[in-house]
Amino acid sequence: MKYPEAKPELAPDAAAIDMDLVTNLAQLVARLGLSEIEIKKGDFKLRIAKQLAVSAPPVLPQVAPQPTAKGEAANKEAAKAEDAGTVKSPMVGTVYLRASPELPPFVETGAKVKSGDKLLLVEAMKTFNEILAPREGTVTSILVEDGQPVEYGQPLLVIE
Amino acid sequence: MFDKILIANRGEIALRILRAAKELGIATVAVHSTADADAMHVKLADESVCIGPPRARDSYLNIPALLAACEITGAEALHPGYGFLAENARFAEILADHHLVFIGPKPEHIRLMGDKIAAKATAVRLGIPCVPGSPGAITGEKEAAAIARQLGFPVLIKAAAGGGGRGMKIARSEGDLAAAIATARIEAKAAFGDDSVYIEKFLEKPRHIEFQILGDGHGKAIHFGERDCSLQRRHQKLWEESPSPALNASQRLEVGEICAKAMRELGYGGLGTIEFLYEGGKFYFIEMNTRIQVEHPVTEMVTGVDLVHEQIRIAAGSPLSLTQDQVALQGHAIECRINAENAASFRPSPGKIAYYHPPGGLGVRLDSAVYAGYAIPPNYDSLVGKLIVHGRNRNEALMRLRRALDEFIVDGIDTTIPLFQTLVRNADIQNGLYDIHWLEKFLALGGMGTAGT
Repeated sequence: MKYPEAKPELAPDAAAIDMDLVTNLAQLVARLGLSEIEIKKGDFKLRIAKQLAVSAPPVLPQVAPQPTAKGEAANKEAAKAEDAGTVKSPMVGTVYLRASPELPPFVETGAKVKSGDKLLLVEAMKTFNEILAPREGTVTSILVEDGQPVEYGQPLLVIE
Repeated sequence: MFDKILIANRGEIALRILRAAKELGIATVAVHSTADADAMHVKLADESVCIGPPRARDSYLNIPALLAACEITGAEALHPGYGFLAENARFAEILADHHLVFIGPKPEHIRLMGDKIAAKATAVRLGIPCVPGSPGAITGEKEAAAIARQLGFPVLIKAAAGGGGRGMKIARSEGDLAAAIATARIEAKAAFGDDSVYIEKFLEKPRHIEFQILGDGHGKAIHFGERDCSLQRRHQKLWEESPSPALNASQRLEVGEICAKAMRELGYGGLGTIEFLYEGGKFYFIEMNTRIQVEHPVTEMVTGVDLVHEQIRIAAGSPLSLTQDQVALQGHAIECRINAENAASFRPSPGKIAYYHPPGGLGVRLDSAVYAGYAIPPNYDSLVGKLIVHGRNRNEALMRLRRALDEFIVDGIDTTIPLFQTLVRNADIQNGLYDIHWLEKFLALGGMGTAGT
């Protein structure tokens, strides 16, 4: 989920901006899954709004017959993942972190990878597709679990 | 009955399917492109899966992605809606190969009716009256000229793989014929990948009247009367009504029964619509659509039957839930397809809906997936919603439509609401005196003022 730098609306005679306040409000917006928050104090008004991005957060599909948690969980994980080094799923399927159950995973957090290294597999209809590292770096977080269903655009892991 | 259905479409029809599934206690999976992540039906579905980027080819037409979505969610059946893959026989077969139920007719019937020449030959065989024309695809200039002379000019050259108003060229005299055929072939090849064409007599002022049928797939079928969809612009229907102002009860029963009987003989399963041109008191078959149609609510309002429920039930193997005797048309219904376009110039107006107030009241139905704050994506069709009204008779329906249109507010984008406000006040429309050319003539003569302003 991309959200912009805070854009406070300043009164014409506003002096210094309380950056702590802005940061706190922005974090509140993210944490509670709000789309905007506004506070007013006399002439001072501050509004923090999360832009509804064209590509809104991918919703995690669930195999269990329960309604998908579309709010907090999706926002939190998606918020963590919208860094430049995020590797996203190019397809719908089931993600596997290892070539087979007995083998170790292709990569773990902290692993150093080169461009083209195998990161994980996404399987659909018995066909396994390799997801390769798009660049060199270190795997800083793995956002999916072995055997988890994934959708198009879903963040899989982060390489920095 | 199914436990879980995947809705392989978007916009208002996806919401329509979702509503029907929920009412039947079936869990719903919404698939969507990245551009539709904020769609209403995605919010309301039990589960959702993003299947691709905005381009339809990579998302709503992406068969592997749809199959994978069924696999990871455990959906047992897929509803294709209309457009996209709804009439793709191969897709229906692929689903069957994967032990998934395609909520629609058998692949062989989709294929049969998708080929307009084969469809017509089948209609002839089943006793459905057809437009006089070439017995099949035309094979040579001499043959074409002979057929055209016999039919009498003007004639229409139609693409066998076309349909929905596409791939047609008029030849008004023998001099035009060769050029019309050549152009039609080139365009057909480009648009449909098949340059086979056939010839039909061109009807000057027909009405477009179609019959809704439902088959159980085992030899039983019924009809739900007709819809008059003559008001079209560039072959796109804008205003539909049931019953047709032009038909009487005995015509309705006669042609309806011909259609139902034909479907029984075919062993057709699911919903279908048999489309006719009607002129001079005669019906002429043009094509059959093997899916749910955009204008289905009009039939639902006059019959009280939920057609999507019926579709799902039939696909799940249930028998027809009513007999022909139990189908009764009551009152009159009119539907207006409201698009995000300027009402005079028809220039598309995608964008964010700032303020939205839908009409309500007795006999008013709005099938729409938009909401205040929703941004209509530019990647797909521009349908904002379908406004449907029902009254005890046509006059009451017209008054209700006028009232409903006047209270309908969609702010932030242009819509074609003003077009319908003008039409509902027009004498010809009020008297039901129109044919398939009426609307374009009305617009060309400045009915909505000067276009482009």
